[in-house]
This record gives sequence, structure tokens and C-alpha cells, in this order.
Amino acid sequence: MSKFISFLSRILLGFLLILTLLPFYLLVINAFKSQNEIILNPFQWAKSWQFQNFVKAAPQIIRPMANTFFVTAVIIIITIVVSLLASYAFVRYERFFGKEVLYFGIIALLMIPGFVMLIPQFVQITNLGMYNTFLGLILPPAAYQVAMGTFLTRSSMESISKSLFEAAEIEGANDMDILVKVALPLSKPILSTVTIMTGLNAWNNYIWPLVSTSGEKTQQIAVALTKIIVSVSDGQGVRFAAYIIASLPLIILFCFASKYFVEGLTSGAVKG
Amino acid sequence: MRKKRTPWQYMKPYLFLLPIYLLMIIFKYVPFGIAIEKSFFNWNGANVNQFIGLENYIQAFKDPTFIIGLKNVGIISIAYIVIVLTVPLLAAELLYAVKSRKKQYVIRTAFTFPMVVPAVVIILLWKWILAGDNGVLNNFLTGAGLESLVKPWLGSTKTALGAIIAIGFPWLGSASLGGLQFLLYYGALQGTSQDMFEAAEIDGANILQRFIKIDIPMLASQMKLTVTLAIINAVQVFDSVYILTKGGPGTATITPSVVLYEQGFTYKKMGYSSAIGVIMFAIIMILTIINQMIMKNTEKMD
Repeated sequence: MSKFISFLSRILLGFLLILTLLPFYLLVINAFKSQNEIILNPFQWAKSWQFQNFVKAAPQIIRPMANTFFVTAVIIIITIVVSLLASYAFVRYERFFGKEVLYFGIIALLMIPGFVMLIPQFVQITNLGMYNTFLGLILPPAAYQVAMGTFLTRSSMESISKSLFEAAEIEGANDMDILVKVALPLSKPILSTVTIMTGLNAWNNYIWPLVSTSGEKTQQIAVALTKIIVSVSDGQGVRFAAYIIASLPLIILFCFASKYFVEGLTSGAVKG
Repeated sequence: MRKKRTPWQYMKPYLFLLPIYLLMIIFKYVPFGIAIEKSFFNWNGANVNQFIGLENYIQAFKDPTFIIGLKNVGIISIAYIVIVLTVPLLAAELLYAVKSRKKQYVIRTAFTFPMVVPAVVIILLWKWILAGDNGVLNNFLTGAGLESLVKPWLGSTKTALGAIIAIGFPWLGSASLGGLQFLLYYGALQGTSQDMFEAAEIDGANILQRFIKIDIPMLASQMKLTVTLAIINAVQVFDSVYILTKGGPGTATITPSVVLYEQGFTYKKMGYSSAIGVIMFAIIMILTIINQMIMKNTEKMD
């Protein structure tokens, strides 16, 4: 009986896995096909490998990818630096006036859904002259990520032994020394998690680039992917090739740091 | 060694907090305040700016499109809640039952990989799968001799909303709906001691009994979290709806987020749009509180 159940559960797990991966199989093989082959049977292995699909797709998304890479990198740097500074204030200074209120002011931001602020945020960056600029793409999302980053970094930094800080202080280290030489190295694991989480959010962001930019100058990858133009003779394969190119950076990163990806994906949720 | 605090010492923690507060105030809290203020204004973001009291809110609840949007979000919420409490939980239990640690790791990684594919790519992939002409699903149905079931899944009023919910089926590859939840449940199962499961086995509990008596209470906090997230995601659902149907056909898949976007950016009715944002905020707050209360009660019952 229990053997039968374990057999059944393996079959079911395998089935779920196949269903989950099927769309990606379809994506990959059809990216190499001509339109005729795609229509004939999307499930079939490619017969004539159309590598030029990738050659045709690349020019349309290289620029948005570079733009998104830049925006993502800057958001990550801002998030790490600002979260470290804020966490340090809460961990190293045991009491100062308004400490609890100031911490609440940070985590309360995590509870406000982004949509409420969409319109005024758009008006705000327009008034600041940041419409269709990289600054406009970077700063508003960064303002959310720093709150998330501080929430995670502080709780991790709290677990660093206080005697380490005190020892450094006795040896004459100032705050910046302690932050860079004690707090930063010991916070590396959580900062990796924050980096991945922030990076995924920035790379995936669709709505904010949609409203805060127009045209190609600052176009982000999520918006660009919805606007791929293919000629009738090229077919859908070119579009699929573009999707694959756009997914590659994160997939490659995932291969090297899957552990941090799992933490980055889950710890963002565990805030309530 | 007691140091006397100089004013400089006293200022220090505030200096460390200055960057985060500058960012948050300029780009989040001020816009949040403006959103609430302007929800009482007839405002186009520029020259038209006139106080009209509750008019935007009254108009919203008289607007049939917005009401249908609320109804759709209700349906999506219920569907998302059912999804996050079933498929990812099942997958986590099935994976946990796999004996070999190494196999567990490989399978978990295989499930995690699609989660790093950009969400927009997944949405666009499903747009193709569900397409009326040359869609994968219709191609499959034709091949299987089920031509009668072939339809434009996203283009028909009857199926469009269901099709949007079905995006990513079985949802384990989409980070927000199944993947993250799967990782949370699986992580919680891994984190508990084997003794409890062994004790249950010795007592002769079968799998179903063990699941109800041990696993569910143990995963209660994860379930609470996934339900809360499902509600927040459902009320704010935008990317998939906007990319797949823009709320159509007609108003079949309209949501408050799409109404907010179109009223604000297409028609420049930014005061009205802000009011819709505030209503969404209120709905999420109320539902989250109700959810916390229900879940707290079930915890007491054990």
C-alpha cells in the first residue's frame, strides 16, 4: 500500500515538473524554427535550425538590456549602501530619540501597495525633470528597495556579537571603519540575498518603466519585450529568440548562486 | 570608560538614517500624501486642480467599469487563494517525501529555475500558448481530436478571465503565485524535526492523518503569509492583464489597476485615478486584517 502511494506520488511530482518546464521547452525549440514549422507543430524538435532568429532579435533588445542592466546595478548599489547605513544606526546606537518611530517609518512603507502612489510618483518625477531619465527609473524603485533591504539587513546585523563592535571601538576604530571592516563582512550573506531580490525586482519591473519612460533612450527590457517587431517572413521565432536572450543574464547568474536565489526569492515575502 | 556625548555624537544615528529617509520621503511618502490629498480633487496633474470633496469616490462606485473590476478582482483573489493553498503545498509535500537528499535538491532547483525567467517573458509565452490562431493549446487540442474545444481563450468573454488566472499553470514556475509559496512550504517542512513524523508513523497514522494533524498546523504561519500575499497580488494584478487583454474583451478582464492606469495616463483624470488607488489600498488593508484575524482564530482552536 505505502509502496503504491510512494510510486503514485513520484509520478505526480514528475508530472508537475514536466508541466512546469514544458513552456520553456516550447520557448527554446521554437526560437530556432521558421514560422511554418512553428505553426505545423510547436511541440516538435526543430528540423532546420534557424540561428538567424537570434541575429535578427538581438538588435531590438541589446539596447534595452544594457539600459536595464545599468538601472538594476545602480538600484542594487544604492540599496546596499543605504540599507547598511540605516541598519548600522539601529544596531550600534542602542537608544536615541525616536528610534522605534524611525524604524516603524521604514517598515510601514512595505505595507503600502505601490499602485496607490503610481500617479503622484509620476507627477513627482515629471516635476523634478526626471521623466524619461535614468534617475527617474532608479530613484522611486530604490526608495522601496532600501526599506526592504534595511528590514532584512538590520535583523541580520543584530545577531553580530556586540563585543566585536566594542573591541573595534577600543582599538580606536571610528564608525566608518567599524561599518566597513566589521559590519559589512559579517553581513555578506544577507547582502547577497538583498542583492538578488533587488536585482530580480529591478530586472522584472514593468509598470514603472511603462509610465516613467517613452521611446528608446531609456527603454527597459520588460517594456521592450512587449514591443518586439517581427516581419511576416521572420515569424514568431525571432520573438522567442528575444525572450531567451533577455532571460539569459539571470539564468546564468542563477547557475552560480542558486542558493542565494532561493533565499532572495523567499525572504522578500517573509516580512509580516 | 564613559564618554561624554558631544552634540556630534548625538547627531550620528540620524546622519546614518538621512539617506534612507531622504529617498523614502521624496519618492514614497510625499507621493502617498499627494495621492490621498488629490483623491479629493479634480486634477489632471497640471493646470486643472479643484477641490471636489468625495466626488471621485462617489463616481468610482457608480462607474460600472470599476465595479466589474472589483468583481473580477474578487474572482481572481479567490482563485489565487485556492491556488496558493493547494498546488505549491502538494508539490512541497511530494518533494519532501523523496528519500534522496540529492534528488530533492536537483528537483527543487528544476522548479526554481523558471522563477528567474522575467515575469513578462512568462506572460508573453502564455499569450502564445493561449492564442486563438496558431496557439499551442489549440494546436494540441486539434491534434488530440478535440476540435470542439478550440477557442480564442483570451479573446472570448467567457474564457478570458479564467485564461488570465491560468497563466503559468501549474503555477510552480511563476514566482509570485506558486514558486515562492512552494519554496516557503518546502523550507518549513525541511526545518522541522524528523521525530514528529516518525512518532506519527509509529502511532500508525496514515499519510492523510499525518498531513491534517501535523503538517497543516505546522505550516499555518506559511499559509497565512501566502494567503496575505495572494490577496495583495490579486488586488494589484496588472502586468498579466494589461499585456494579455488590456482589460478586454469589453470589460471581461478589467481590474481596478487597469482602470487606474487608463484613467490616470490615457484620460489624465489623475484625481479620480488617485481615488481608485486609495480604494485599492483600503481594500488590501481590510482584507489583510480580516485574514490575520481568521488565521489567529484557527490557531487558537488547536
